[in-house]
Amino acid sequence: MTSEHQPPTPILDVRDLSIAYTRGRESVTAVDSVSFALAPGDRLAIIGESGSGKSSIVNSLLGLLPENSRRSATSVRFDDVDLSALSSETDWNQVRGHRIAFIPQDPTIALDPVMRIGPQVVETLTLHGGLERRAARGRTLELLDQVGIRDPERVFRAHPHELSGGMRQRVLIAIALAGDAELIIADEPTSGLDVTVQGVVLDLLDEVVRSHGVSVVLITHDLAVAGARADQILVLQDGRIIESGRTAEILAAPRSAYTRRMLEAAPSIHHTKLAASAEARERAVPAAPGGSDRGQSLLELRGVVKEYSRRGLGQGTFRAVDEVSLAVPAGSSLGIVGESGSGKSTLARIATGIVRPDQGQVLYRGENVTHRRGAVKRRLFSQMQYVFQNPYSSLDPRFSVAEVIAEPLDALQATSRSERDRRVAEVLDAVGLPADIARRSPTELSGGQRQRVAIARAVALRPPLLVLDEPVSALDVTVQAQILQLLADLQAEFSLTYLFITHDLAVVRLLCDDALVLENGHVVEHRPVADLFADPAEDYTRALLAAIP
Amino acid sequence: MSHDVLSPPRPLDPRGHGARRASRGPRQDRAGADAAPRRLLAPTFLISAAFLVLVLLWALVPAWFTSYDPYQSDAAAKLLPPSSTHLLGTDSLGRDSFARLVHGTRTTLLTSLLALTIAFVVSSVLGLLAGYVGGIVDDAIGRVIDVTLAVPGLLVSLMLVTGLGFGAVNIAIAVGVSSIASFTRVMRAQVLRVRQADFVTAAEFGGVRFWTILRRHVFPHAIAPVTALVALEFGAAILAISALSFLGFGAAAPEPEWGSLVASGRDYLAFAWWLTILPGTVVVLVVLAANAVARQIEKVG
Repeated sequence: MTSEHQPPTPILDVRDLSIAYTRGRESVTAVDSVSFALAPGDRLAIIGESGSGKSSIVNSLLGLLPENSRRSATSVRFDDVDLSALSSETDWNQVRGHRIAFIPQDPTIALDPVMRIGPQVVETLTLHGGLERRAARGRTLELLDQVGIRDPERVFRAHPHELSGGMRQRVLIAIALAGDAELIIADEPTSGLDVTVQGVVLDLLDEVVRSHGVSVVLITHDLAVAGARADQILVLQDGRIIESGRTAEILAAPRSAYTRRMLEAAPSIHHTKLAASAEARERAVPAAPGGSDRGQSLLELRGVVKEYSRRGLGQGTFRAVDEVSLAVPAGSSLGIVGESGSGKSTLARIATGIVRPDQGQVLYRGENVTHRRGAVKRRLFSQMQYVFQNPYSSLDPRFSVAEVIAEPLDALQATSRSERDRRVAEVLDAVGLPADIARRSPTELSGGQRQRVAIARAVALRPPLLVLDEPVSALDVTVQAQILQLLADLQAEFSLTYLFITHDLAVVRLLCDDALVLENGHVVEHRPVADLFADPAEDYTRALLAAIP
Repeated sequence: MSHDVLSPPRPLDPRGHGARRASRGPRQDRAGADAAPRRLLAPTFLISAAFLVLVLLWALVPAWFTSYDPYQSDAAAKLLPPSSTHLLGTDSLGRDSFARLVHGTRTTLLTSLLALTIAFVVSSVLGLLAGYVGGIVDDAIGRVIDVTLAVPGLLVSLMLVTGLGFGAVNIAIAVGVSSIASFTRVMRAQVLRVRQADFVTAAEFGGVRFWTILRRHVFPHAIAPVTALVALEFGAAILAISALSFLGFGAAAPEPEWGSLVASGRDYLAFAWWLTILPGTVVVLVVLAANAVARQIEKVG
């Protein structure tokens, strides 16, 4: 056996791995002659956007390829085991979960929901480690402590749903350690987690590699994460390796245009606000009749409170939003930043009138619209529109793109058919989509195209205010960059005001003038973005800043 | 891209349990996609579907299947056993039993269809309101449904038909109303799921009016399982309609109807069993075939 990298003896050696899926009579190649090798204690990052074949490679290493797939390879060797020769589930179980551990994107599905955490770890120890129960219990507490769980006794007795996402990932890492895994395959292990927790979990993984000499295959779409956490990088596009090598070399001098684009697209590498493109500025419509109101606050919230009753044991109420006041000056962008559960989405829904606050006031152009209903509510919908996080759920799959965009036009601004068609064509052009897409169904479009359609629907009414609820976090990095640029362009073109909800401060820096940091429903900081980055006043903000990869 | 859809990342629990659980995934995927057309060719389904088509033709063009007049009595041919001239024999007035069965199909099917339409329409409105508006509306509708479900359907139908009086339309209403509860439950559950979708909220933001949102965005995404239930209940509706006609609540005397055919042969059961057993068998076969077809439709989705 010869090896290009000449490491001691690779723990994982994959040669000419190809995977194809058949559906009906069609056959789609997902992975095309991929080869790589991993030395013991090495960390390999496989990077690619959705559809690049990352998951197929992972599934083939774990024997989880579906039945409609065909795999061919010269060799897929893990230490002394030929993975390509394993056929039965029994064979796979000798390796999988024992010598190869898997950390999935969503930790909830990997833990048994009706079993307490402790016994789940103990089981691995007794099954694979041959420990007796009593010893296993002690070892479990030790492992939980090792993965940075502060209160192992409590977690031991807890059920998975009582733990946060970050804690669950730690438990999975503990289980991986319990099985004495030699290889950990982590498939986007942090993309379901809050930013501040992401760093901690990745640090823990690094720590495990150092202390236990485990090798790691890290699947990610984020070049920044890979850059900081891997020794080797493999860049996949359409199932083919387009670049591979040592991390430092790739980051310093990416050879392929695709890698360069990914590097440039990472929001964290830009340190200033995105400028609108020249064309967008040219196309900019002059300020709306009624004079420019730039600088005056368009939307204002005063001491807004929203409480929800806790479900279940009748533990009273829980304040999702706690006395929040804010003002969005016309023509500017305010970023609302916080982790999940910080109340940012509730705040956006209060601002747009979908949710009513329990206390406080909502003002639009100085008018109190807190208890809007009927005609006022409808009039305000043409003043503010909402862009949802998930473009796969925000477009009715039964509608055509044109119908999706025309719906609010028909409902709120009775226009003639030709006028409506003209407006649809206009906004499609504004969001950079070809005109012929109008007749297609959203289900035929990619995530980025769908989000463009959703944005087109929102701007079709020409509302002065757009509320953007994590509009890029469901998209691939390169697509994210395009959508952010589009938002910057549209802001210049239609003099829009943005209320931008996000968990990612890097995105705020790209698009916003001011930032409001929200923690557990109350405002931690509310300052211009530049100040915030230069001198974060609060620990929580510093944690969020540190989380930018 | 496409293969990501084909192979969603499956979880693997490092302890091995998950591996077994996860490995079931692909097979289910296949059942959903590739195997669907093949399942439609299953023999039970084919036979059932063919039989239902035949029954449907009886209802549409009875004259193709029998040359006898269902009302024409023949004193010389009373209570004849099945033969090549009278396929299912003749009744006490000498009328051809097969002709009466074939000509009665239309009444029975139309009555069942009417019953299901009533159930579908009413339960759609109730389910949409309960699921979408929620709160006190949901509670009110929910309680009524719970009470209705506690009473056997046929009993509800009997109570209603006693109040409404006799006739095909009235038994259709009675049977329809008794199925509203279970339909509404399914509809409500679907609506609860659909209203979570962002496109429903997006329509609200677009200023679309309440009933339009329900009609345009919620209803079309919620009806699939209800439609499957309608197909499944079709057999039960035929059975309930026949039962009520058997008891004499249905179509007036000379008009042929499946339930009343069975009932009229009852007096001669001892020496002319074919008058009761053969139409009864047809009812049973139609119910079984309808169920088989409905289950297949439900499985294929």
